[in-house]
Amino acid sequence: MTGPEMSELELDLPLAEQGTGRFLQWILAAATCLAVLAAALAVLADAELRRAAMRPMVVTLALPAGTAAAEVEAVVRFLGRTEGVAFADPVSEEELAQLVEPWLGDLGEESPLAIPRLIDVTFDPGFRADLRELEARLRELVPGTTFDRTAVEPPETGMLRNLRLFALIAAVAFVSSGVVATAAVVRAGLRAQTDTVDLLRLMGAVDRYLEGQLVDHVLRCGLRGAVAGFATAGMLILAGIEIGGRFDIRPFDALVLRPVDWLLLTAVPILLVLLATLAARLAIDRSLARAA
Amino acid sequence: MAPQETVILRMRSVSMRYAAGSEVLHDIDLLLKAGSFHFLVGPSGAGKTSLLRVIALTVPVSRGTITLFGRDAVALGEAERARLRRRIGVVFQDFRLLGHLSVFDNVALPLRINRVPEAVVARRVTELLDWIGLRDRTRLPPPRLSVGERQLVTIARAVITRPDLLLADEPLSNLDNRRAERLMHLFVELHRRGTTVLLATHDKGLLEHHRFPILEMDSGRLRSGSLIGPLAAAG
Repeated sequence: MTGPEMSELELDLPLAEQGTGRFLQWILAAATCLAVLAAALAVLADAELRRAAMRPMVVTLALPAGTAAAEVEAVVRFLGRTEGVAFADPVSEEELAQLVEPWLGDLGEESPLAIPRLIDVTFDPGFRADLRELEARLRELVPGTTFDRTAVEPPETGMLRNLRLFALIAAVAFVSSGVVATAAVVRAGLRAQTDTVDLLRLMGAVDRYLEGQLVDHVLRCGLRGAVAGFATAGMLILAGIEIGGRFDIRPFDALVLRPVDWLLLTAVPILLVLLATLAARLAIDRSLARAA
Repeated sequence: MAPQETVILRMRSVSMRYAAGSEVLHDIDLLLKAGSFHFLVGPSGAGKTSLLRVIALTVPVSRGTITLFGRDAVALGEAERARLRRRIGVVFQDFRLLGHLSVFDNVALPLRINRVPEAVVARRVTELLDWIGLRDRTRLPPPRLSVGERQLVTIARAVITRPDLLLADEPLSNLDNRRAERLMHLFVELHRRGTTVLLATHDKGLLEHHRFPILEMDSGRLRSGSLIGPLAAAG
């Protein structure tokens, strides 16, 4: 067989035969796999944060000790009319006594301690109230009223935010390292092929011809690496979700990736291949200009 | 052909040095008319290969002017230089074949660089390889060929585009007599069809057998008059 069939996939420059060229697709596969895993962690943390945001916010309102029952009633009525408030439940004196018993003992009928009156306020799911403003308005009704803000944001939320940020930085770092490695491999490959480049130029090849071949090579390696890396990462993620679902893994309540999340993850290999190809093109331009 | 192209190559006072070394070519004056055939002779180290490299635009000159195909070859941009190079076929002494490509792809390379349609590439390469007796070697990589066969592939690659100017550096030195004679016929046939040929050789038999003008080099200089041998003697 002669002619086009045996020639279509051959490059004039023997990049595929070089060690560096051979490893390019595996470098890109590793970068893709790690970047997708990191991005998946960021997506999971983000999903958990969104779920947390949709949970009803419950805060405790403290009225100064000695607040009259009528004032408590007025506050409950006011909260009932306030936008976003689902329930306002005063904590009964008995319940309060039970709450403080471990620390203060049995308060009995005539306790000398001034215990504040508490109201549990539950907001609508997903509604985030401006507690500072609400507190100011409540103080007009009962001076000294305060919200317990420590209960507003559980410690897991901060951890999830940090995890999301760390995972995003890691994903960017893996993509960047794949891009930088591609540029370095292409530069090294061209340096090793100076004689061939000279020969092709002697036959009348313009730099665009050489660049086209090299970019084509990088694109092919990139696509093969990206597919392999994404497939590996996908399997690891599915296995992680399957295994993780059987255990209680804090701070995650659930390990779930929606179809749209998977779609988002496919953007990682695509971005990596595009950036790697662009970096290769720039590296080739510079190397050829230097060799001219 | 444009009038100025009746002269393919004109070199005036051309000198050349490699990097920071001493000059290897000194004040070369040379004129090659379109369709001419010249032998280039001289002892080893006389500067034959360097002269061919200068004409092929692979090394810059340190002094002098070169007009190639009517263009000032010293001050060319990348695209224009590439265009001129596509009109030149070069046979290297050291072959310079690409070991990762098959014989077919090595020979097809100049055509593909010229963006010749693949069907035409297949036909022309197959025909030429058939003619030079390498039909059964098309799929092999050059390292698996004998030295003589590699020489043939180098020549096939140089002539596949039917270049306007063919520069050949000792093209027949590794071939047996039968193949050398056959290849010489190929060069002569190209010359008859209008290709300008400059062929460097040591082979005295070749010079005696083919009555073409001879340019003689020595110590980086073209001997004055530059024409020696049978034709000069006849003139």
